[in-house]
This record gives sequence, structure tokens and C-alpha cells, in this order.
Amino acid sequence: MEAATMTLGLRVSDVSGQKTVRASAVPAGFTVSELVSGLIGKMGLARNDVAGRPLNYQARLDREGRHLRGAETVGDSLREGDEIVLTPDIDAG
Amino acid sequence: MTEYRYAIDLLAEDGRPLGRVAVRPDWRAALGWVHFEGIREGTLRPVTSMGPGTVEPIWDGRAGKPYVGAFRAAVGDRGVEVVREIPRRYLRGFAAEAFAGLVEQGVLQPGTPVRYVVVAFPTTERATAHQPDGSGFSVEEVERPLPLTDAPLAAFFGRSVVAEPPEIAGFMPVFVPQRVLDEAVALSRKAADVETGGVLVGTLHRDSGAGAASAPALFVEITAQIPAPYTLSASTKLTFTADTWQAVQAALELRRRDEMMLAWWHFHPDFCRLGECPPERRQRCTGARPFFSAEDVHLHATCFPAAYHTALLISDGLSTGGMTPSLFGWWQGMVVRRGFHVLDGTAPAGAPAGG
Repeated sequence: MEAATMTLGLRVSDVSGQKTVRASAVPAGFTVSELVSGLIGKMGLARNDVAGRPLNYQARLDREGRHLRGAETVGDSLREGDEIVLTPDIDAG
Repeated sequence: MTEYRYAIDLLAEDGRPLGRVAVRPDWRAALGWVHFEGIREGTLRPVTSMGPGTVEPIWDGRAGKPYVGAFRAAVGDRGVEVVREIPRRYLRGFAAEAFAGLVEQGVLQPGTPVRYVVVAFPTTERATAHQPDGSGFSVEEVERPLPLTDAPLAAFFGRSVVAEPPEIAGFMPVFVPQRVLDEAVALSRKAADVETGGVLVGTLHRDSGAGAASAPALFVEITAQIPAPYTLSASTKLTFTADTWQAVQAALELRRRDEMMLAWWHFHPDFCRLGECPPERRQRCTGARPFFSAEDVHLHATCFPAAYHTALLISDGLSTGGMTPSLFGWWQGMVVRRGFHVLDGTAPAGAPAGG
């Protein structure tokens, strides 16, 4: 099967662990950036800071205890059932 | 079920209309709070996710339709429904934005005194929260039980003192050890003129001493503070980075105590001293008292959205007599200053022991 048609299922949490979702049929050809962008919208997470600037989120892969790089592809870096946590760079004032 | 569209009307002090701005309220915080209230009263199952909720206007008692006096928020689960009233000020952020917009357009001068009303109109538009977004995959929320641990609430009251301001009736009790407050103050003193902060971890408890007649009360025990590493600090800003969250999670796992992130804390230096305000102005300055900035509220909403999440603020200021701890948390879907209990602490003068 070609990588572009393969998909994965993932478990994704927000930073507090309060919200967890099951992401189904994530294309293996997606980059991590594309995955994160899609998840932010679907999980209803804040996209911008109070000044309207985009928030930067990273995806932490629990299995390896590291942040995935945006250019990595889902198919190369993730396995079926992997758990990732979305963590933002965010300001207190 | 009728859907409504909402707008903010800005009015001059004499009632003259200044402008109308359509708004799309995000009701998640209000509905999340109603859901948790339903769990607290024993009506809803103690799970992390909630079913669909609804919000409808309650018409203003004097002006009537289309003027909104408050909102009726309802959350249902398996045939039961919990309803709470949400005040009109839930939309005050929109009013501030509308005012800023009219200032930007030159319609109003900065500082012009205005008031606002909220209006609502029935619409046939349906909420479109789950429209396809072209990303090619789908998500489904996972329902998990709230991690509740049984513990006797009376024992916590017995070994705690009430912090100022006193807890408002109806708020879920939150217990913070004196040791945690001391650590946060010490770290704040060390930071001096820049902001610093961390994460508070602990346990969500269910009262094991409750009688059979009522639902066991829920309460929060903070057990430790984890200083936030890899933050970027300035005098008026503290950035929690992705590395910060990763390090906190690693520390939490190393502790192996089944704790969870329940709150965060940060420090406001003495902004008046940094700004070299004259002492007589500091007594009146709102920045000299504990406050949550728009950034603080945004961080709380983004990273600590659950109704039981709180935030500790350590403020330094002449008018408050030095380093002052205060707690903020969710109420009616808004972040407000609230009371808490200091575990194993010393009662401030005149403060009653216990709850």
C-alpha cells in the first residue's frame, strides 16, 4: 500500500489532560504541522493569543518523551494508537 | 430548540445608541461550568466530557425582548438536565472589543463613558461546530471518568485556615498547603523584578465523610508546586513554552503519586514601583492590587479549562503589604478571584479556622 493512502489512529490530549480525543484516519503522508493544525481546530483549542497572533503548538509524543518536529511525517514518526499531547507556547501577563 | 444570534449595543450615558456589533459567543466555558456543577450536585456522571448543551437568553425584566438580562445554560446527560443562570457580563469582553473598534474608527474618543446592552434575535441558522474542514481526518472525544479520590472533607477543614477573601458560598473548596505558598513566595522574591511561575499539582477529592442524604462534596487538594523551567521572563510577561509543559509532565511522572495538573501560579512584581509611580497614586492604582490580566485569563482558558482548575497569583505591592497570594478560578464560565483554604498554615489575624 502506498504511504499516501495509509492512515493511522491516534489519541490526543490537551496540555492539562482534561480533553482527550481519538483521531481516526490520519493520513500517513501528513506532516506533523498539518496534523497539529487540524487538531487545533477539531479540538477547539485557541489558535491565537490575545493580540491575535497565532499560538505555536508542539506535539509531544508520549512513547518517546519528545516533541515532534513540524516537518516529520505522521507515517515516519507515529504508530497506530500513539498518544500525543499538544503543548502551546503561551504568555501570562 | 430555538437558536439565537447575539449583538452588543453600545450606548452613551444618556442612552443614545452609538453602535451595534454582532457577536458569536463561545459558550464552552459556561457549559463546562454547568456540567461540573451538575457533577458536584450528583445529577450528572463524573466524567470528563459532556453532552450537548444549550444556551438561551433570559429577557431583561424591564426592557423585555430583544434585551438580554442573563442567559440560561443547560447541559444534559442520559435524560437528566442541569440548568444554571449565566450573567450578562459573560459577554463583557465583546463590549470592550466593540468599544475599542468604535474608538479605532474615530466614532468614539478613548475614555468616553459608555454602557452596553446585549440583544438577541431568533435565527434559523444552526450552530456549525462540526463542519468538514478539509483536513481529511476526524476526531471523537474520549469520555473518561473524573479521577476522584475519596478523602474526608471535615479533616481538611480541621487542619486549615481561611485565606482572604473568604470563600463564597457555592464554590468548591480548594486547599493549598502553607508550604506551597511559601515556596511560591520564595521563588517570587528571587525573581525580584520579573515574572516567574509554575504548575500546581494535586488531587481531586470526593468527601468520604458525606452522609447518604446528599451527594458527596468534591474538593481540591493541592499537594505541590513544580517551578516552571524553560520559561521566558520579563517584568510584565511570562511565557510558558512547550518545553515548560514537557518538563512539568516529566516531574509529575517522577513523583508517582497519581497527581494531576490542577492549577498554575505566577508572580506579578510591584508594577507601581517598577513604573516609579508616586506612593500616593499606588494606593488607588488597580495594578497595585491582585488582578488577572487578559493574557492570564487566556492562558487559564487555554491550558486550564476545567471548572475545577484554579490559578494562584503572588502579587508584590505596597498597598497590599508585600507578597500577597490570591486564587482565581472558574465561576459561571468566567475567571474570578475566589477564596481558598491554607492547609497547615497560620491563621491571619481575625480569620476563623476551618471552613
